Amino acid sequence: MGRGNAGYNWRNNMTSFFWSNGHLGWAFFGVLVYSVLCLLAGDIVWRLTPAPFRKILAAFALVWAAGVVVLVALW
Amino acid sequence: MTTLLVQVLVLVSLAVLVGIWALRFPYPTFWLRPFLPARKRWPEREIRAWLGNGRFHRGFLAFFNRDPERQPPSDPGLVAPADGLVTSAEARDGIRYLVIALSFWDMHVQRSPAEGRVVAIEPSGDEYMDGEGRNFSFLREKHCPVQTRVVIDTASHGRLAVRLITSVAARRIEVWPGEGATLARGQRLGRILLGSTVVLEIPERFPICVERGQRVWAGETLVTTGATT
Repeated sequence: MGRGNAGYNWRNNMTSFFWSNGHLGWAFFGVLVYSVLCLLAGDIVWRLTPAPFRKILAAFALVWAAGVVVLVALW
Repeated sequence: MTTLLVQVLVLVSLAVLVGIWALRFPYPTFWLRPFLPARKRWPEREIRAWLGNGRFHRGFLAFFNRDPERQPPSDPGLVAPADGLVTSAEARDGIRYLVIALSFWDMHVQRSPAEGRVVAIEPSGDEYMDGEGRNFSFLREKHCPVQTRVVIDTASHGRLAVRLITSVAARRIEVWPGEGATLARGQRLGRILLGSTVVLEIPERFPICVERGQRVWAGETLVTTGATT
């Protein structure tokens, strides 16, 4: 087992993240769907709360990042 | 293959949603409108744009033209002639002018403040302006806002008048009862299309019970007490 093997595994894992068994990788698909839902949910919150735009943006960036981490970790 | 098709279908649907959202931004999308309060459902900037191009949202027009039933209070006194915000209640020459500003989102049907008889309907004015309710601009001889003054003789409060005043945005006034018509308290009087100002003229001796900045509702909010001072 050498460095080359580790690199191969990483590339292989990344490929299966985006594509696996003839369809999009579930993690990648999940991240895309989750990102769109985050964007639309952020829009609703921005319209319904008096909080400043920057605060909402920061909060949603955190929520989005945490969600992505969870999805990738689950994968 | 089926999985890929389903995934692509979901992603294309989401892309369409994001596209619509981006095209509409900063205005709300059609799927969001029903869940927003009126002011956010149809933001002022969007309404002003519609005023320019005349292409009003059908939902907004239906909302604007609403005409709910109102139940006048049993207590004696004049009721507000319009929905809106009291912006002034100053008196001049023995008459108190209660100025009610209507926004785009207020109900626009005006109502009679008391039981009485319409003795005159007086259209006047030559300008569509902003600030139409400020500094008695509606009383000017020249360059006053286009308006219609409905004079009502009442048994309880003497002679009153309700002024329906246009603005830059509101350019049409409808008065429904004719001269000589008898009015019930809270009866529909007319409407100003697309929001402006309504002024109630009351003899100064009647104490008012509303103040500047207060919201009032046509036919329901008492604006005077029954007693005179």
